[in-house]
Amino acid sequence: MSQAAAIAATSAWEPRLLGWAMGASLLCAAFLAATGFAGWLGQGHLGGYPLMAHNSVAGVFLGALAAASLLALRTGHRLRPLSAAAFWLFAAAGLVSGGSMLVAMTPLLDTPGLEAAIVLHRASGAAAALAAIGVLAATPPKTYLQGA
Amino acid sequence: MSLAADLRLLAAPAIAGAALLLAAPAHAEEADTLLRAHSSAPYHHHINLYDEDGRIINPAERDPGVMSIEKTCGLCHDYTAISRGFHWNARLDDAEHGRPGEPWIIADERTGTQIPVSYRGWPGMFTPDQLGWTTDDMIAEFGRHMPGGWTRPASEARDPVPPFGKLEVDCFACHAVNQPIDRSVWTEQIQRKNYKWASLAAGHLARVRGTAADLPDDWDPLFPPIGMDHLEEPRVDYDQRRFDSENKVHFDFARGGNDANCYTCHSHRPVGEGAPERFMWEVDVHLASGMNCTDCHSNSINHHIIRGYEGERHPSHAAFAATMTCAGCHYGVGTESPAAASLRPEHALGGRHGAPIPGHAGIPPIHFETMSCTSCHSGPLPAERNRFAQTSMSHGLGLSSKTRTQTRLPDILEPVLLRDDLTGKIAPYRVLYPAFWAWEQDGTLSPLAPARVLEAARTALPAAGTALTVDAVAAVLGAMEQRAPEGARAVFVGNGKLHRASGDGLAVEDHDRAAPVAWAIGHNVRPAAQSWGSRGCMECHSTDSAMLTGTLHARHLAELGTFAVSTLVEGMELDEGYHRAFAQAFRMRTPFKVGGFAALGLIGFALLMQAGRFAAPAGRKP
Repeated sequence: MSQAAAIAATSAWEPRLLGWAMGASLLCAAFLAATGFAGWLGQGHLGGYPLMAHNSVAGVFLGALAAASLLALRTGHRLRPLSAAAFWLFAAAGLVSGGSMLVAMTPLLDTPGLEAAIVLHRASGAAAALAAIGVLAATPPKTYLQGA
Repeated sequence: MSLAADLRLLAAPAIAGAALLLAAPAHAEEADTLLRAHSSAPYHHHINLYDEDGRIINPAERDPGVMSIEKTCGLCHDYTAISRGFHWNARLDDAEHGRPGEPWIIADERTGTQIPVSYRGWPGMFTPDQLGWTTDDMIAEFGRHMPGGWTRPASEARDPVPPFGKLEVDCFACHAVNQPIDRSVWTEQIQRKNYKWASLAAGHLARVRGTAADLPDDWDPLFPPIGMDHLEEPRVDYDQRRFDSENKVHFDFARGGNDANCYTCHSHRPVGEGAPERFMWEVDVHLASGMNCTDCHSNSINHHIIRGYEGERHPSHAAFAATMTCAGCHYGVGTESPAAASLRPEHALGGRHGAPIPGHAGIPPIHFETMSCTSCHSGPLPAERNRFAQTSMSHGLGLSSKTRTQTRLPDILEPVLLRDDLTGKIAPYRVLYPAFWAWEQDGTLSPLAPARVLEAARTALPAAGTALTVDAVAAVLGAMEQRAPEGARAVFVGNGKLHRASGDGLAVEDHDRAAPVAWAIGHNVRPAAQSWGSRGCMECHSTDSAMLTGTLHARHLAELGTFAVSTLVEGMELDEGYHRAFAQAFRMRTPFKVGGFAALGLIGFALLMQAGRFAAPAGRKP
């Protein structure tokens, strides 16, 4: 399929949805980073109500990121190259960050494995936060409202 | 040669000898004074018995003397060091008492008394002195379950020395194997104040006749007081079949003792509604796997037995003791830890006694930072209502009795989950709500032993077996007021509250001394399959779990109606609202995981597709 054909095949609402999904995932990432860092700096780990809020928003984050990733496959070419690159880095880091915690919620890992998963979660979460800053810097704000 | 020169010649070797002695390492001196076998095999104890004057006992003699453990066992073992060990050091000023253990509990059904006492100064416990109890009083009440070794302090020294002798450390009580150590006989001898005869009788080495308690303090067998010449010191008839032609006796002793001997004083039984019958009991998983109590609770000759809890400050082997906790054995203390520096490497690595390294698959590590191992693995599983326990120390388990009913005082609740003062972790405990009558003066309570309550208010007390009601307590307090010391008021403590007479009834208030007393549950350890949480996260993190619904109920003084039922959550100092919300959130855990993995799959798919585009050769990009 040619570039022109791909553009023609993209429905009018997909770019808008991509903008919204990206915006939602970035908002969630900001919240997750804020609660995660605050917990880590405060008592060395996340706990209590902030943890519940972190978990709840993490679910929304994964949903939004999955939607944004699928939509970006179809309409990502509309994004600026730097914006697209930052977004895929963001998605990759989000995948590792979410995956490390979801795997930790299964009886697959023993204690050292779980501790490694926590370290991986923190590192990939930090990477996702940096990538999110990159996405924000490279993407015009109107993209989130009006679409890519 | 002059006298001075002679003296110099004589002095030279003496000075040289003294210098050598001073320079010699301690163990060399020890090796000179004590006989040693230095083998892993048990030493065959085929030995003479010695009396308190160090004479070998000949059972065929008319007056063969009484065996002294100090003289007999002390020939090869450092008796002085042993007698300062944990089982006997409660009254020593420089002793390391560690975290609170089970107190002695003075219990009396008629007065409703259950007072926790200890010489160790543990929180919430009274010292016997505060009740006016002497060492002899304590021996009379609790000597039944002590391995001897209680000595009177200087403040209780008596002149002349009473005739019942010294209650020496009873090595037989712990170390005897395959030979009778009869706790009932021991107890009988203790009650007769036949202290120095008790080991002989309990070991069935001799038959002991007579009662030292009947003798006056100034008893002299050669010159009995006038009118008392019919009395006799206890007499000893040795079982001559135990002695050979050299007057030696064979003893089967084990260095690490015998689990049955430990159980003599450290047994417990569950009682009350839902308590399993005897045949349903299980042993600790460690014993079931072939270990002995002393594999973990070990000690050197100083008998500072390692108690095995996290944060223990062992007086002589602190670093080694750290390897004998649950985590120390199963995980090791880490070769990089400060403790490891003074340990043999294999001790720091864990796996002691073949301990497996636990997987704890899927259990977030935060659990190990906030909960002790025993929270999930020891004692009875927490339930909606606590159950009750009876113990050897508190209820005389091991001694035959027809009156040890399931509700007999003291009323000990288990399991109660509380925060450990040392580590801040949640751990299971046994709990006693003190109950006693007392004089209150300037906010300070002076508890009364049951005998003194009876003296003060015998007629006002309800009959034995009758519950203490509000009216009964008020009546007793009224009667006690008649005999109150100047400036003091009679009060009753129970149900975690202080009660004082007020009008026709009782006024109830909080008081520090009414607070429950707790000691940690270490055993029995349950295997992983029976641990709390083995049925999944929801065993604790659901709104109907024992963690959130568990409550504490006491049976004693129920008719008084002043017991405030508390919850396990309060004891654990957890935010109940948060944990209920967390438990609610756990209902969504499975959908969350399914949805989460689905989302991850989609993200992964998109990333792969995008990576494929990047990797595709130029000109073939879509």
